[in-house]
Amino acid sequence: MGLKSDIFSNLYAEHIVPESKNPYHFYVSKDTEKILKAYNPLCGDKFDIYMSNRKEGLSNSFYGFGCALSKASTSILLREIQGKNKSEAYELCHIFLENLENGNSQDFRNEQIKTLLELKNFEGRIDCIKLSWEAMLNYLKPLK
Amino acid sequence: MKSQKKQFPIFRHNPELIYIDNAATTQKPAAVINRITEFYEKENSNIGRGIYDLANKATHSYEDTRKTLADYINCKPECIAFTSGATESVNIIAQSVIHKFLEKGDNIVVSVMEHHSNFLPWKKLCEEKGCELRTVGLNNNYEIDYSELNQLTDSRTRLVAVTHISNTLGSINDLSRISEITSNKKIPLLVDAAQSVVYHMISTKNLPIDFMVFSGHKMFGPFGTGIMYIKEKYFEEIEPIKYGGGMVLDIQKMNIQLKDYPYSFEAGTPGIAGVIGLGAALNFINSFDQKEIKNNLIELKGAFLEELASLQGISFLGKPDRHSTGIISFNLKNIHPHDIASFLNNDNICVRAGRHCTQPLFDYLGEKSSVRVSLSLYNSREESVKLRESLKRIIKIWG
Repeated sequence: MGLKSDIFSNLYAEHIVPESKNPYHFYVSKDTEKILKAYNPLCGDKFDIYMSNRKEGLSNSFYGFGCALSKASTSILLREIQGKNKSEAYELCHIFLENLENGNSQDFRNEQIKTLLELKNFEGRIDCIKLSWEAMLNYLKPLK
Repeated sequence: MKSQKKQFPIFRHNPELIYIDNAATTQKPAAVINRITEFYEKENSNIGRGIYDLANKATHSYEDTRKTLADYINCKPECIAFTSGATESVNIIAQSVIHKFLEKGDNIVVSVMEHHSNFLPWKKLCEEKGCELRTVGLNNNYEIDYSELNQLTDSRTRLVAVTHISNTLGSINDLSRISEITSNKKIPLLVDAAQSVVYHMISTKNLPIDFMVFSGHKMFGPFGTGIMYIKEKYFEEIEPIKYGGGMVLDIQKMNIQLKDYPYSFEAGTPGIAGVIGLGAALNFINSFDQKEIKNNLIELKGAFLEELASLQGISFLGKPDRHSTGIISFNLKNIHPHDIASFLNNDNICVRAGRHCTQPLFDYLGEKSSVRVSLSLYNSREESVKLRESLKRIIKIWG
């Protein structure tokens, strides 16, 4: 295994696999305002994200099937935006996706988000990382 | 049998590469690459039109491929038209042949293991014409359920369109049994032979097959080369769906007389270099003892299966040990195929992960996706060990 492979394995072992095994708010919500569809027809990843916009801020959960990376990424996203207002959540998604696409050096303090951004350097998995973030951005955009 | 790896330049440039995604496309031997380069460097010309030597030579080389292909599948050269790939071939047959025969209330029968390219064109056509698309399930050997096929075909069935070899399961369908059913009921049969090329090529002489499609890039040939075989009895009835230069016999005022099939189906300038490269690929395949390369593949597949079976939490889709193809689909418990493919990629191992364009099959099997290993003549036993070791590391990370 080379250095690239070691970095990849470590990021997975330390962050992605544990997060995907114990994802944040991983359940179906019955009392919800909106169900976002984070689907990737190419690989079969399918997550339903249950969103409600309450007085105390955004409330969420998700459920479905996907790879460790897409599951962990969704989990990290939902944990980050829980309780935030719509504008804050939109801003986060927007900056994260911009970082992912353009490699801007916006400094995230959250270690898990940094991990996701590092994993963009591994070919072919960027869609797994951004799947739920894009669905969230589209949901928040018209509400902003 | 000696490893054929040296004949494939990609392995010289990537010595660590373990390429086991051959059901998606095969690597290209130097003989094919060189032939294409040679054509462009020394023989480049359009075909069928020029009076000069260069054009005549290009035309001959192009037509030689048609003849070699005809020998390969035991048919007359005029039964073969060149397309961009198996997908385009199916679409052309759907729109130019079967479309004419379909009336509201008719049906077309496919199997649940079809690649989307032999499923969607028929679904679309049935929707357009108010017809029913019937889907046959699988038997215990993960082949087409022949009894069900017999039950689902009736006097309103206008086509049976099935794959010879499943690109996901590696199952080989018994074309003798299928064609017996279709010929007894006088139903046209289309065979998707995309995975049959190289090791399991079909002779159209021995089987009552009406249409057959496959792609050049899965048989060491260039991308953008497809083959469409149509039985002679349809020549009078088929109508091209594309019109342009090269297909016209005569135009007087508004009366257009087209050339016969297959030239009427090759409008415009075709992918000449690709077809000539395909000819080189066929010569490459024909240089091997077919029995020997097939036996070698079966032996190699056995080695891969043995290594994979030793892994904790592995499950196979279908019965890969039962069929003599190089395709193995599997899952590792609680690890998504895409994660597996990413880790294997870091160890220079190329596999396919996902649903392999066979979503109806995955729904039928109650599976979400799989990792697919598909072998060719440059793969080796050593690679099966490297694959096992790499998978072991992944299992360890997941704990």
